[in-house]
Amino acid sequence: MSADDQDRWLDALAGRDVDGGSQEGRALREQIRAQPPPPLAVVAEIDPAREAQLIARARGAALLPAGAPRRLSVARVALMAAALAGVAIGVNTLRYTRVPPETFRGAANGVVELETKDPRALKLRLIQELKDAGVSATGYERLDRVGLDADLSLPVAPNVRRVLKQHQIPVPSDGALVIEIHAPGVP
Amino acid sequence: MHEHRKELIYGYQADSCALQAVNRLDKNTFIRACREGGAAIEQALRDLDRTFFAKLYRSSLQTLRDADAARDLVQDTFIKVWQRCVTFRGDSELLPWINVILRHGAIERLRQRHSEVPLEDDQGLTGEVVESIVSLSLESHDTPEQSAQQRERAEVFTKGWRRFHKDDPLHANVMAWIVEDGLSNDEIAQLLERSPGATREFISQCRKRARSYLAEWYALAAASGETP
Repeated sequence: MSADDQDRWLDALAGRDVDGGSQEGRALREQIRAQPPPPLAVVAEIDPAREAQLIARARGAALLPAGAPRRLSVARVALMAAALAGVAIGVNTLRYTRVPPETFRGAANGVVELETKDPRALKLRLIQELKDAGVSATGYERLDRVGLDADLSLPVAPNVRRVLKQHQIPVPSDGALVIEIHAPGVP
Repeated sequence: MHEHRKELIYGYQADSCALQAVNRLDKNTFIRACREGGAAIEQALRDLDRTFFAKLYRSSLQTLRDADAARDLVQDTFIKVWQRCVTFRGDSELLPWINVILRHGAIERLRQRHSEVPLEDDQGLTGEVVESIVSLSLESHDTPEQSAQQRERAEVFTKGWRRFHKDDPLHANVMAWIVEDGLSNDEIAQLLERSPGATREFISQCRKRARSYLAEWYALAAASGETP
């Protein structure tokens, strides 16, 4: 089976056939196209249960902020209060060493927008994490805008992908990573 | 039967929601929601589901042949669509772009199900049949006898094609997508996320497997004397 023969076969199968093309590919195409479609599955156009499941998955993937709190039992409230007291002590200890969590707000024209209470701290953290992954990112602060950009080598390395994934940042297809970080309430 | 039951379960809201308006998601709304993020994404996700779920689900069901897996694949695709929304430039319509993401997901699942075992050259075929690749136009039946032969060959093809699909859905589906969308070698390489060379090998395997699973069809055609 020569490369030319295979190309002719593929062209004929794909419907790009010309005179002298592969009769085998053409015959296969005709037969495949003639196959009866599978029985039509009954699918509701609007299905609230399905949508709820999708929204829950989106929250699980951190695409959306966590949902509204539900009614809680007294026992659960007490348990949560105790847990919160413990967390408060921990937060107080860590407040100067941890960067506040960020939320992925969206992206447009190749610019990824993140939201966090401390944009500068997040910028420095991202630059450091990218540096650890072998990427040299440049940070900037101008006109109340905090951000960074970097040129990623293609294909994007797995360790760089991991850093981006941790922050819900989509992998840029062209390697041009541009991130703007806002504080809540700042457009 | 089991599959049919599950499909009906997924369709249970059809009547109760028939009067609700469906907001179709177009690419401009999608790009805007991607830019705005937050609550806009939640509404756009719902619109995405209402606009495309049914079509993508049917396509996934045809590929995966499992209702639960098909539903999971479509929802997983919708999540990926938003994770990658920044990469949608609006050059094409939304559906073809989403379809590529869906197919990537389908391929991942099919690869997990079936390890790829290369076939040896000409496996399952005699040299005579390999040499007797036939002219099998469905339109070229001149006599009642030829028509009957065409029908017989079509039935044999369907039987072999179903077996191919069941045993080796990855190669069978890629062949079906080539027919459906006229994919080129480069487009198949992108879909499979393989190098052009590895893709050529994959296509070669598609052809060999087709010849193996459809050996009876090739043999019938050869016996009928419809050789080029």
